[in-house]
Amino acid sequence: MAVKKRLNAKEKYRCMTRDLDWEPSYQTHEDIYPHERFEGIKITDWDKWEDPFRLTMDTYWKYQAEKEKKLYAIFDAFSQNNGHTTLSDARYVNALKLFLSAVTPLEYQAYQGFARVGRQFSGAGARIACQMQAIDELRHVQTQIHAMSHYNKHFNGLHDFAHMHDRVWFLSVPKSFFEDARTAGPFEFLTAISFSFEYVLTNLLFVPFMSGAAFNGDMATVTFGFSAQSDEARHMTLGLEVIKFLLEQHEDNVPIIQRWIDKWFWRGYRLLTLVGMMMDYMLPNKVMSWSEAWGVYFEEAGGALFKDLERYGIRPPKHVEEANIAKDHVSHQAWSIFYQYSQATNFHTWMPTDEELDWLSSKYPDTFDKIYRPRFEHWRALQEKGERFYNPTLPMLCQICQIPLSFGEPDDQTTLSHRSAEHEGERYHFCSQGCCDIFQYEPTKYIQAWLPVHQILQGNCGGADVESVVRDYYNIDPGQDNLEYLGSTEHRRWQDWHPNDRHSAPANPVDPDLLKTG
Amino acid sequence: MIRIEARGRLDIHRETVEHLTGSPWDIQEMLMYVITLGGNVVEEDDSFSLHWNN
Repeated sequence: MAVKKRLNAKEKYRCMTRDLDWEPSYQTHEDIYPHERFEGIKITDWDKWEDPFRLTMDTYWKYQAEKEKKLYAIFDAFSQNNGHTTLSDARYVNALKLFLSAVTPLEYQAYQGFARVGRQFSGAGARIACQMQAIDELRHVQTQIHAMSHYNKHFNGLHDFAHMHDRVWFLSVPKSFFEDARTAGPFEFLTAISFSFEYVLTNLLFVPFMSGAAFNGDMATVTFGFSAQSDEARHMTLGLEVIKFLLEQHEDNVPIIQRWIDKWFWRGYRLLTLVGMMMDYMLPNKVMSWSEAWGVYFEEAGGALFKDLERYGIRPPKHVEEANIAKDHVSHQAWSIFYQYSQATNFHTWMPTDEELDWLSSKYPDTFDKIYRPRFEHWRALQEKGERFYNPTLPMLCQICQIPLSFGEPDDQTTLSHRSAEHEGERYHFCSQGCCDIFQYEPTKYIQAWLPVHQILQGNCGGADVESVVRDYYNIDPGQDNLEYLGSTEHRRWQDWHPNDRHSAPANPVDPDLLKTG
Repeated sequence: MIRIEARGRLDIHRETVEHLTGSPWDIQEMLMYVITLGGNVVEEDDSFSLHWNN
């Protein structure tokens, strides 16, 4: 009588995944997997792919179901107990509006991207890892929307996030980032997203938003964050595995990967400008400064990683020094942009209180008082006079990152950083050498960029003025979703909920009739 | 949130965890609550390890 041997984890995984693959007999490899060669990446042996987590589908469903049960119970408890009334301050919710319209649609793009590459790789191990990640990302879309749905009942600007993501000027920053990755080949996609974004830079997205939620009383978002992060741990290992696999497969892959690491570090770093601004300006209870977060999660943690990759001939990304210097500047530069263009945002903005200005001075001792405090005090003085500043012009956007040109030169942050390059008789503009380098390597791709400001000026966004574009093309509710926080419907409602809270009273009462666009 | 750091390598053994908690434990259960990792992963039936190569 044969005794059934119980398979160990490795064997079980192999039986349920790799061993279900087969060699095609009546179609060619090249026809079945047409995208694997054009990037110049050489794979000699897919069997060398190591699956760090040997997760079979039955195990996957079991653990994911467990996470979902727990998560939705917390969402329900938060909702039933009116958790939104015990936040630190209503200003915090504006960080969630930014998150839902900027980040959640990127999770959907991630799902689409991983579903695609999950079909395009001829290695079964890689296909399975990507397919599971695609399902994870779809889960993240859904759980984020559910977390935010409660806030949508009580706050403005959350009602049409998918529509806004596709049209609103600042949301083209995250949108174009991911579209750049998805329109690249499968190996670049994995280097861009699995490695560069989900491994190297992931903590700089996760820690600010989720710790921000924890520090400001947002149990729904915190719980979503922890629930998603357990998926992210798997994604991180995919990122590290893919980079090691590609570098070990063939030495010709090294310069290609290095170029992608350079490009995607810079694109990711620019995208994180929005997070830096959120950390330093949009959290009533601060977690840490953006400068501190960059120091811990990139300079220190990234240092260990790139030391590991030295053995393959990989060096740290180009322009990393510039990013390290700019950690003391970008959040202030970004808040300046959003403060003055708040007539066209789906969230409110405001000037920091005295306490907050002092916190910024202490966290940025070399830069804040010298360069940024004077402009904020100037704007606050205007606001107190009833002349709250809104910029009446439209800004020049960088052709690559699509952020308005507002960053400084690395060695002189009081000088605007601006580069330009010609291609086929047209001149294109960039915020930095990093973005200019990306353009010059693949100009044909980036001359096709849909730049929101260009499109508005060309008449492709509905209205003849900014107010019409905001109302009709963006579906932002004018006077409700946008403009100054102080005196807004949300601010007044918060004060009604908390009549005894001295923090909910504005330092400088503002007449709502004076809240007009510039 | 708890952060665990180790020099060189970090090894988690199923037996050790079961001994400390008094309850059966599957290595893969970690997937439900681990938030972030740093290092190369080696997952076996009875252990989970992280290490850097430098």
